[in-house]
Amino acid sequence: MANPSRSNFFAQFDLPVAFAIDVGVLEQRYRAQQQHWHPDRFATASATEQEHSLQQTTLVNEAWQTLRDPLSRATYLLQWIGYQPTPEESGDHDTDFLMQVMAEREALEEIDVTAGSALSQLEALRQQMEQEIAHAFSEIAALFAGIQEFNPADRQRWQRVSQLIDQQRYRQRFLEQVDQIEEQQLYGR
Amino acid sequence: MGIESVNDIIVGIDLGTTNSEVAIFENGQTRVLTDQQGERILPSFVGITDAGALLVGRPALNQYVANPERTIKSIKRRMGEATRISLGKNSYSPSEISAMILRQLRDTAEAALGQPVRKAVITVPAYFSDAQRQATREAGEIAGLEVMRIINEPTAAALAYEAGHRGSRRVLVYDLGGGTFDVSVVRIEDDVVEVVSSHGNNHLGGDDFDQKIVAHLLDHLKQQGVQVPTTSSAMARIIRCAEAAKRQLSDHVEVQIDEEYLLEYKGRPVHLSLELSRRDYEEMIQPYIDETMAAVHTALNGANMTVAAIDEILLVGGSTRTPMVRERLQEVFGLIPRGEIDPDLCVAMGAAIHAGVMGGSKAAAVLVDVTPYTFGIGVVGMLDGDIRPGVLSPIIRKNTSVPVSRSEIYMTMIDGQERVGIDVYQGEHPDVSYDVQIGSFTVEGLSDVPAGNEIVVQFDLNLDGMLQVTAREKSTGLAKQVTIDNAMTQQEGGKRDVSQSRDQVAALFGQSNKRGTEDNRADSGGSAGTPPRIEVQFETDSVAQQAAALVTKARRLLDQATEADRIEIVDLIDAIQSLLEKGDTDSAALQKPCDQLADILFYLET
Repeated sequence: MANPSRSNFFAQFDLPVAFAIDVGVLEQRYRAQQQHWHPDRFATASATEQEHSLQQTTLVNEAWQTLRDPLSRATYLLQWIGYQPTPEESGDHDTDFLMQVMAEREALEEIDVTAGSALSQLEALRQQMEQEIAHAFSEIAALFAGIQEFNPADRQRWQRVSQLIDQQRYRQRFLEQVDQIEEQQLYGR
Repeated sequence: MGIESVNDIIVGIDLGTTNSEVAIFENGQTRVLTDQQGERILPSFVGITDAGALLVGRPALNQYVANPERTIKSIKRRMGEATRISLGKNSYSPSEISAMILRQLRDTAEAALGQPVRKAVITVPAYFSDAQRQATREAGEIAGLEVMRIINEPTAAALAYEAGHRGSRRVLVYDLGGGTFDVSVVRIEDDVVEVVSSHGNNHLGGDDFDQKIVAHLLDHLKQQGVQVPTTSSAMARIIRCAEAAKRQLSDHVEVQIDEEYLLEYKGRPVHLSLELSRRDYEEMIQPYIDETMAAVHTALNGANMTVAAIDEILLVGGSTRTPMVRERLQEVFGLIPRGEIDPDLCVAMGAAIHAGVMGGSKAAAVLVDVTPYTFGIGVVGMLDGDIRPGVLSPIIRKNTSVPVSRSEIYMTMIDGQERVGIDVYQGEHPDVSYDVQIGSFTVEGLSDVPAGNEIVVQFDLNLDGMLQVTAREKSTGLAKQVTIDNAMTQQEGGKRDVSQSRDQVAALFGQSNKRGTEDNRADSGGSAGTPPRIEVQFETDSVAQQAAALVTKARRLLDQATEADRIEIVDLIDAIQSLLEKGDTDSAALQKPCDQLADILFYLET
């Protein structure tokens, strides 16, 4: 849930509220703020200043971590807009996606991890998944183009973004599994 | 003595499994301090002589073979364990033993600098757990040092390295010490050294390599029908031999191991004599090296980077002298690992640079580190006693930059639920039984409302990598706060007072005659110096909130109390309430009656 008492993460870095942000600029500003606020710089300052620097650094870290990752950035933007899916909306399934999921799961399970070809098969699955992720992000970016405050007319748009976010999470977990199997292959643990 | 000035020097300390060092940052340069013998490296050995005098460092190492039962090595591997280790007539906690090493380093620094030393930055392996970090902090306090910050060893190494090589790059720090292994992916940019991901194993290091050789040597003797008693000085000699062989194998493809008159067995003298080739040795340690390479892979994944993204590899820790380590890294990354800073000294140098920044120096980069663990809770043990299998609900995820504050909302499951148990875990497994439980506490006196009462659980992970947990009833703000490191210390029974330990360690240093008179002067200062900082430190607000919760609980339990207890409880409730009403929420004043009341309630409930 959005926490209204927290300041706007985009404003923290003097960035416009948008999904498409310049990550290079974000990184630069993040580092500059770390340099400025880091509690180690205040180790000999008064207790109040120390407390303030700690709060600022914590806030900077939170904002940075939320914005640097496109998925958490998208999630945060939906909160900022004020969209929350109704139970009906979240139960609304994307059949194409579900079919794809089943096929990919099957492909992963069918890989014989003892076979010499396992690594290349895993790699192929990984590439496919990474392509899907990139594709979904461009759809998310298009949906977020020119965003404003919540408007009931846009509800369908945000519902689709919310759905895409869930799908991306699934794909990330899938990639983690691929990683794990690969590690077992490479290092036999 | 006792007067603190802002110009107090802060030293940087590498408290290692095998070796320890102390360094300072002055005039934009780091300097590793030497003892009176001109040594920069203090072996992490502690011993007691026949006469009961304390030995730390080289003299303890030297007596190890003759008196293994009176000598302790590699104490770092026991840090955070609730155990006592006997040494001479007494027994000590791992923190107390480590404190003796720290105390020795402090003496070295005071002698080298000609001024009292009361503040330090101490390094720990990145993969050290909360309990291990706390034990290290406690060791510092016992040694009479205010621990300004605990920083991670690979990060310290990166700081030391950055100081000499400006410019933006991505560095993989491979840190294989005597007892611990860490790997970190670090970005160096614009005066910020930022750890992107960290992974490791806090029980893997050069000691394990020694053990493999030791097992090999024992096997060899066994084939001749000789059994070596485990606590004998023969065993200590074998261990020393194995260490020497390991070191030689870094430069030679084969070593000859010879120990004459190792022991007498069934009336005949036993000599140890055999050859060991590097190839055979590498076969023994391969599983360990494989494990480190898997951790490298995990760290890269955590950083979302591929092998090709790494610009440089930095080697830290004496065990990286093993040729196989370099070969494997070179094979995987296609880079020649850098080791131009002495792998034994660069951690201490980094700690000193960090100490310099804390002391106000603008010359060095600031450090942004991450947590190598995921922290979360599994809520179990509701009012009806029905215990559900715990599932980890992550609150702070692995590789999140610290300091960080995160909260999640959880709901009660039962109508009228008065309390909720919070179990805090560290680990990556969704099933909490595979993770490490690092603390647990209960929020009492919740409002009488239907199920679904919202409880906000907030995790604050500080720059030392230590966790504080607060649980709050959302509707009333009723809160319970616990700092996990304190919870751990208390769980470990014994609950020894730090100042007590400090006096004991200081006294041991007093008994030791091998040091100059300067140190005796410092002794008395040590015991009277920094106050113990272990007690639970509540925010003013939360003390008040906690006190209020305690009062609520006390009222509820009043019926069950005996007449005598009841009078005492009522008195304490009155005392607490009058303090609360006066707004006198000074933690020290409130803490005392709260502690007394909590004690009585504890006995009532059990």
